[in-house]
Amino acid sequence: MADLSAFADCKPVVPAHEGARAVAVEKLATVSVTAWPGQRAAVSEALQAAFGLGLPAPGRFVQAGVLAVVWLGPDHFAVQREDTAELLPDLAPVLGAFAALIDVTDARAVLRLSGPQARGILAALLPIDLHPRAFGPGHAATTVAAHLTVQVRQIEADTYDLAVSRSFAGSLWRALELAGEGRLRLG
Amino acid sequence: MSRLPSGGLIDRATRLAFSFDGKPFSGHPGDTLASALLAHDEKLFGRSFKYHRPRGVLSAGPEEPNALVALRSGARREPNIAATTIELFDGLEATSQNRYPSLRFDLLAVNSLLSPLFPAGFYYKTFMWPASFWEKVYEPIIRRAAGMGRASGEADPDAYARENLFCDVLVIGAGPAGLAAALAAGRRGARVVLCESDPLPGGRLLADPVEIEGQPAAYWLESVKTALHDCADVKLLTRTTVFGSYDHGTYAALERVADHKRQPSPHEPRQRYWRIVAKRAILAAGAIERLAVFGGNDRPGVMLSGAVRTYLNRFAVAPGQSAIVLTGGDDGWLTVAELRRHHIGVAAIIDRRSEISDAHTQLAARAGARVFAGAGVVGTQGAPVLSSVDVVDSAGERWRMPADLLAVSGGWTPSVHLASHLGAKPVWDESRAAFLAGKLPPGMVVVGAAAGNFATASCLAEGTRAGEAAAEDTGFSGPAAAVPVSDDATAENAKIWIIPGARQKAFVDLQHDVTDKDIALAHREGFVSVEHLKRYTTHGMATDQGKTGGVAGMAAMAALTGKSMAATGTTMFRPPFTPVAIGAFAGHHRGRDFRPYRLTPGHRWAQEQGAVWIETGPWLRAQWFPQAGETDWLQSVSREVVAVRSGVGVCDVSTLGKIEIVGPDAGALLDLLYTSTFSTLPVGRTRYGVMLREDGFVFDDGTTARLAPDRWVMTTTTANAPRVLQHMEFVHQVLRPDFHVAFVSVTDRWAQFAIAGPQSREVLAEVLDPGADISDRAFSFMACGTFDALGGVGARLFRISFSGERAYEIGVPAAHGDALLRRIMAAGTAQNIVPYGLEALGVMRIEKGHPAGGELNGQTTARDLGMAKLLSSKKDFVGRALAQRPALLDPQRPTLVGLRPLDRSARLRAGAHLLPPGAAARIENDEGFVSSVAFSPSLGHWIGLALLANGPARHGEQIRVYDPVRNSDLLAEVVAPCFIDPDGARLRG
Repeated sequence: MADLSAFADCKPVVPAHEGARAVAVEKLATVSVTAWPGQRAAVSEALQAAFGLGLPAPGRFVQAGVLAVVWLGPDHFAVQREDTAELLPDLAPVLGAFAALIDVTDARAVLRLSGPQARGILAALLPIDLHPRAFGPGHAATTVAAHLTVQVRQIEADTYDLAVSRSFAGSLWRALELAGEGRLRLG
Repeated sequence: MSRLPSGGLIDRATRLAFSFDGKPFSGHPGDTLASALLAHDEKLFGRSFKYHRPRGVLSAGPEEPNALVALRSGARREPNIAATTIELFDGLEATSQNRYPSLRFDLLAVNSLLSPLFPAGFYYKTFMWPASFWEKVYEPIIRRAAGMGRASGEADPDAYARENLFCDVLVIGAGPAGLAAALAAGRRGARVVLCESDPLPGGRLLADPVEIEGQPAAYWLESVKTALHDCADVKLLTRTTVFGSYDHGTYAALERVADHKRQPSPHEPRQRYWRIVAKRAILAAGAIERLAVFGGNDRPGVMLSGAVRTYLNRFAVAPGQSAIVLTGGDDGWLTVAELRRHHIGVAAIIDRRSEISDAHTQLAARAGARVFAGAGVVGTQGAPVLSSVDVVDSAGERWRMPADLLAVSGGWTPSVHLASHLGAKPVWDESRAAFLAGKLPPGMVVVGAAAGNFATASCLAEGTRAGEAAAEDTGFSGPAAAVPVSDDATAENAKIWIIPGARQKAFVDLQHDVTDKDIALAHREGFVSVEHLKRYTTHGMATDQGKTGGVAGMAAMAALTGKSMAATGTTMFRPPFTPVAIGAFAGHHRGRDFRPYRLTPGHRWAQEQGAVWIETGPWLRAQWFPQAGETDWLQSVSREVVAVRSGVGVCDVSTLGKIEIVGPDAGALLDLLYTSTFSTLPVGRTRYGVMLREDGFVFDDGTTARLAPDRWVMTTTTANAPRVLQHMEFVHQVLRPDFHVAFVSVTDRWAQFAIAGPQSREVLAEVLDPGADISDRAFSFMACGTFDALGGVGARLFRISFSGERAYEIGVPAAHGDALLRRIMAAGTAQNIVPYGLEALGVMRIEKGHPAGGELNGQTTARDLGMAKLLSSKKDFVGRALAQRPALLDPQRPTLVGLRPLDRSARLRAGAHLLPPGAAARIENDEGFVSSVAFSPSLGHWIGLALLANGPARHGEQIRVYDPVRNSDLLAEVVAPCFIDPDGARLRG
């Protein structure tokens, strides 16, 4: 049976003057990785050997193809793969000895915001500095947006991913619609 | 008409129609409401707060205490707006305030004659006795009489936005000092935000005939605007008032995005609240000209001298035709020169100083004005607007001079409010005759007139230097820039405080109608500290916060106590600098958007079924599912309960908190969290547990399942899910950092549904992929495991029950939740499966005596809830020590029981008190209360759970259930809390 997007019941918004667009990112297999004390380097090396991608520095994420590793907190990371297949079975043999692995696929609803006014719209929502000197491609942060805990990542210039707990998808959509002030196309 | 034939920053080619008190007028873009009305010789703007005295325009800016009007009409009507800050727009409607029945004829002006009855502290003294009158009589009267305008009472139709801004340098104020600072920092490459409350940058340069670099200042202004535009990272926000400074370089600013229009454009917010985080701040907010205290200083036609120049030069309006200038320094003479330049007659110049310079004497001669040196003003006449001024010359002789404008130059007060918001009191500077910023917030400097340096030349120099220093501090170095040259000399600040000899009211606070006599009364009654003075007289407590009259009040008290201004001091300033609409703080968070909400994966399906929703915390949960023909919620709920108890039902339980715990020490962590032992739980089993707070009271309850030797999943109550996770982080990080364990919330990952009822297994068998063995032998009560459903989707299955029936909870990744729910409903067609909601769930848990919200109220112990046997004595757990306190072991503590009304048709009410039968309804007889009630369709009558003193020993007794709130008083039988299947046979199947 078909999956149901977390944003399935959100009404698309078509502005008169589009400055940015937000679309749902679906089918993102995600595993929470907590390195056991002293094992961060081992985790990074094992990841590197298996997937060609090590652990990111604090406040950063790294990406190679469909795979990304996001820093969430000290020794805490998320590994993501844009794929419908389960990720945990692939990670367990690689990282199981060095880290706690918890499948959190579907726990988050993700919107990708892109366009020349994406940064300006996000400034209305996020209390963090998004100026290119402070936050650029490869940066990741956990912050708040309209009372929602949100993880934000800058994918490339003018493109950001926003992730909230899945059940809050409608509230994120609405917060973006309001912050967009008629410049943001949703859906 | 008083519009000057030329000049001014107005667009004469465009006419804007507006109305004041229903009368039509016209003005031009660039006008304020005040300037446009003055151009029509309208000088009466409103009536004063206490005495209903006629009031006109005192100033030309946000400091205005008099000309307060209600702006717009209908839902957009906003009271108490200073006409001096309202930009004119076509179709503007304004009305005067505090007058009845009309502005020119006001009945309550009689208050002025009764003023001996309204002294300082009037309310404190008058409305004391009897106390019973406070709320019923006095308050309504005071409320009707108090306040200036009225709120519209309708919902605000406009949107308010909020935005975050980060910068290296925040410059507050775009006068000469601020512009120079922003340019100096911006040219170095720093991120600069320049905020100006006016629609135009320039500050006093827009009003005074200043030359910069040998040219009129307008040329410099244009070049700076262009240069700022060319800087890489300078943001100029006009119509933006920085109204508060906070910790760590955070500032709040309000941008009036659309207040200068009839209404906002589509999608445009009316106002925007900016949260600005700055590494450095340069306060260049300028100065506010202050009120001088003399008899009749409130009459329309009395105007601040600098404001006169603003109306002449910026708005091309003559605020009068025949002027008198009262001054305490050179600044008033600048106004004389400007009046003369615009061909306005100057009848007299009253200089408080006895020495007049030759240049000023010559200026007076050219203007044809009589000079009174060492003289003062003691009164004004004119009803309602000024017609003559009473002058007392240096010899003490009184002169009555005709005039329709009295320009008053009593000195300038630096705007140091933002430097004071973090708690530093301004300090008196005698040489500048002003309070200057005290200890500055970290990262802030004050420049220009805000620092008491009023000359344009020093503003430009200080601004440039401060801008460069701020850039340097934030990592942007470069060569020193040349400071623009200006011609004006340093002006000494005037100080006129109180001119003695007044025979009329002399105001120190125009908006709150506080006079010099009120200050004297406060002094006589011992309220001599400025903080007491302020609160006792309400001096400086109006919406203008004493911007014009504040210093005069301090000076009046200093004179009375014989102390210096430095010793008298001033009160502290607090945000906001100018009033901010509550809507700007709320932003988008109103109505449906007040706070975020959470929807479960089964929401869409339940919506299709017509579920009735209830908010539980942020979640929307289905309360019940009404069916055709059902007219009453109880009918629907009872049907759902009966269906589950006799057949099968499904309930979305995705909202329950789910925390996945991994690691070799997970069992040890659970042992510490729960009162009972979990580490011994075999893989594939689930156990119910209770957590205590450190103080020994019950915190939360739920089940935890062991999926693998080192992998567990805990459930929490919906309401406590975030708190339990937080508690676990505390226990792990602080109490047992040595544990090898990790956990994350997986609440949103799993769509989880309870399938409950005697026929639940048959339905489940259809839902799971073929081959699953869920026989009672393979999957008994409290089993857990992983299965496939929906054709290969990994599902978690738990045989747990809240309803007391055979039940299973099945969870799949959330994206599959909608599909799983539809599959369950399809699979249960033969069994007539029904969806059930939160109410039916509640009824069934009460029938089973399971404690929930009403019992887990933070005041109950595990013993109180009949769960003493869950308190392990073999291990430590959080709350163990304090749960042993003697008072918590007292058998007289209210303890969980069940209640059945003796009259089976009677309805029990939650919250009712329990009393011994026959005992009077007094608190000393109180033995507990009813915590939860439900109509039990299984039993056919109402049942209740209650917390009753020594409850378990009293099964079989009768108790009086008394509810004075809803007028219910009945007898009930005390029974065990479990009403259905106490042995749990149905659970096990």
